[in-house]
Amino acid sequence: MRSIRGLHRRQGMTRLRCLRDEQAGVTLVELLTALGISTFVLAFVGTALFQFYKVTGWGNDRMLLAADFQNAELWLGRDSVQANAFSPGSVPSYGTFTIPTSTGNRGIRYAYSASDKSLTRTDLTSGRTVIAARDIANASDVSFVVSGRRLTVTILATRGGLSDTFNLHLTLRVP
Amino acid sequence: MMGRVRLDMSFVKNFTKQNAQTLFDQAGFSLVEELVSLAVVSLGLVLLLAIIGTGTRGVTTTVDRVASEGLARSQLEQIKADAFASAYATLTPPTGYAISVAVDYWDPGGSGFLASDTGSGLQKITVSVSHGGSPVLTVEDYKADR
Repeated sequence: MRSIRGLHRRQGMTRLRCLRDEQAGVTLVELLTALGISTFVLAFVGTALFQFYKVTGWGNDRMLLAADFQNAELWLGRDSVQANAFSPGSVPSYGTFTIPTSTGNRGIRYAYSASDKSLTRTDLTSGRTVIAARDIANASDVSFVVSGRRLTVTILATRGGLSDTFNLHLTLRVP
Repeated sequence: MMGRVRLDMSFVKNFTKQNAQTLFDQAGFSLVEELVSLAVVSLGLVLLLAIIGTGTRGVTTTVDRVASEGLARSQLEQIKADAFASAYATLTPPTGYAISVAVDYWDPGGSGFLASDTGSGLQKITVSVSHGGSPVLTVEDYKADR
């Protein structure tokens, strides 16, 4: 029968003790390292995801504001090229372009729509209305100033905490 | 007493032969695993940041182009309203933007457009818009003396 004292000298027992010591040390270091690395990585992932969400939202708002300005520019540019006069109106109407045609004058009226928060363009002959620019918070954010053949349109668009002003100088081309 | 010793012996015998080695292996592997996962996650993060960077650049470029188009159109419209002249006034651009206008004259002799006044009464107007010192777009139009 072997004694306990004898057992300790056997390789197996020495390895067990060794294992016990090693395991205790490695586990703590491992735990701390893993915790440290995980915290670091999680902080990075969290920041990156937050930024991803925020930056894409910002980009979306910027693009939509740019689209508003581009739409307004295309409609207003088209109307001013065909018009010979612009008669200012009173808000919510900003004014009306007069477009001479072979069958008489056509009116194109620009107005503010409070329900859509937008600048609208109405063809007075056909009665059709389209939205020229969205994201306009107040009727006073858009102005039409006419001086002879020159027309200056200023649009302030606001979206998601972003706001931008667009100035457009136009000429009533038809003499 | 003897019984307990025997029990301990069998535990030691079974434990040290296989389980001990497994535990040693496991202890070493955990850190490697962590480092590998860190590398993988880092690669993902770098890709994510690259996407954000590219997207932001795209948005900025688009916004620049839209603003510049409006500015170039405004400048050309102003020139259309002006009387025929050798030089035209430029608009006051928004902060960061710059606008320049060049005038060339049609040469009836067949040399195309020249910088000097040929007296033909036809001009080529070139409007260039830049933002932050780098060119964004150039637009050309024509103006006749009539």
